[in-house]
Amino acid sequence: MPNLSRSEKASKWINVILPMSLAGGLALIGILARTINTLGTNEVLTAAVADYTHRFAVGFERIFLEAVPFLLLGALAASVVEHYFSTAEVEKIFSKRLIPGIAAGLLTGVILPVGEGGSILLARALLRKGAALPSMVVMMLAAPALNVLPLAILLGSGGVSAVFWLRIGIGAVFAIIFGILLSFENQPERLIHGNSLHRHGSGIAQFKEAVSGNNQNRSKAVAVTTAKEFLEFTPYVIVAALIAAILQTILPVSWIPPVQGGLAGQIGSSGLWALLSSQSNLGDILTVQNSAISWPVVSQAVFLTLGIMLDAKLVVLYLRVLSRKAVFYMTVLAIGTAVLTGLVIGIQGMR
Amino acid sequence: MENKAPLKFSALALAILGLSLLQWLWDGKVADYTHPQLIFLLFPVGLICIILAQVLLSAAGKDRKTSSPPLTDAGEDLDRAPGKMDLGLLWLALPLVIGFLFP
Repeated sequence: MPNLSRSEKASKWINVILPMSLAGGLALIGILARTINTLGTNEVLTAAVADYTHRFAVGFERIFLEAVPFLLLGALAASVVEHYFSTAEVEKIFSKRLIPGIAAGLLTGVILPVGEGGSILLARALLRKGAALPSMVVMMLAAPALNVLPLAILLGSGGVSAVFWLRIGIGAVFAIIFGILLSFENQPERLIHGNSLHRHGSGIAQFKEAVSGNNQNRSKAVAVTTAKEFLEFTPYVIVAALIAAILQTILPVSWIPPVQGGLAGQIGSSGLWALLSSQSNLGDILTVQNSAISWPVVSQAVFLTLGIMLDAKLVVLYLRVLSRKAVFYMTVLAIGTAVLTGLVIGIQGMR
Repeated sequence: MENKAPLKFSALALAILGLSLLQWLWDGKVADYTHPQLIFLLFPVGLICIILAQVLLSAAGKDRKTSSPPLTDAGEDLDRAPGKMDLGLLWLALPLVIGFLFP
């Protein structure tokens, strides 16, 4: 058996041994839980097992199933950019000039139906084609708040509250401010993940040249790239969903919003739940709308505003496009914005 | 000789994912997991996954039969920064295991 290098061993461990072990372990837990549910004689144990396994499964699958449609749309948009747009066109639209660049990013976030998660795939494809970083950051952050597809679904699902419009405003302002902050960086490539950096004369460009003029071939290439992008990002969503679902399961039930306590409790529980539940921008609103217990306004505001800016799944996906430093600043700024929103609304309500 | 196994494995992963999503829609299991208003988004996703799997399979076959430019974006892979590791497709087994085996 050939000796594997250190990176090959790490790759084998991350790509084969760890997922297979986790799948095997989860399969055992699932079968055991089903057996206890069916044959268990101890009512307390049976109820506890049923509760924990159900919470874990729902927590995990909700994140996964809500992310997948938008990842697929984002993969398709990224693939179209890859095969149908030239570097010059992308550089012209997503200009390095601040205001036109940010306006283009904001508009793309609104009109392209890529939503949360999908906008990250699209941003990476555009960055690789030479789009300016501030423009792409604005697009990535504004899409969950302003995108036309989730907006249409929400407006058609029976009305929305004032907090919904507040979150749209905060989401848009947050995206623009963060984009402007990043524009002060003299070497923006330091804030971009290595995989997302613009490269001249790439293999895909050569391929595009070779197949140009053959539309059938190009459509097929779009489909292949879509599949490839989708399959590259989906495992990261799964890892984030797994971690978030485990944390959701071990979180005390009393910490899950809507908590009816003081201001700190409301802000803390709804902020933590927004990060851990990692729902889509649509899922956040529907969770509040469909809840049997009414959510206090502060909890709603923190949950909905933080939910569109940041969650466990988004952090993992942002790390595929931006550097750790940029994601850290974004995390701090997003949490600060949500807490501030909660405090302002809470203090206003006390007067 | 170029190894087409990863492409075929990707096609298999997509097909299984698409069929599982459609199965969960068919037996109503997705209603346990997500909001009723979002369920309709999963039907096109399931179908598209199956279509993409078919395209990947045919691309793998075409690359083998002809000397035309490969549809597998091999060049794009070369552009990846060295030392950066992507997660493998076996991670896709997790949502399936949880969806099918957990109560």
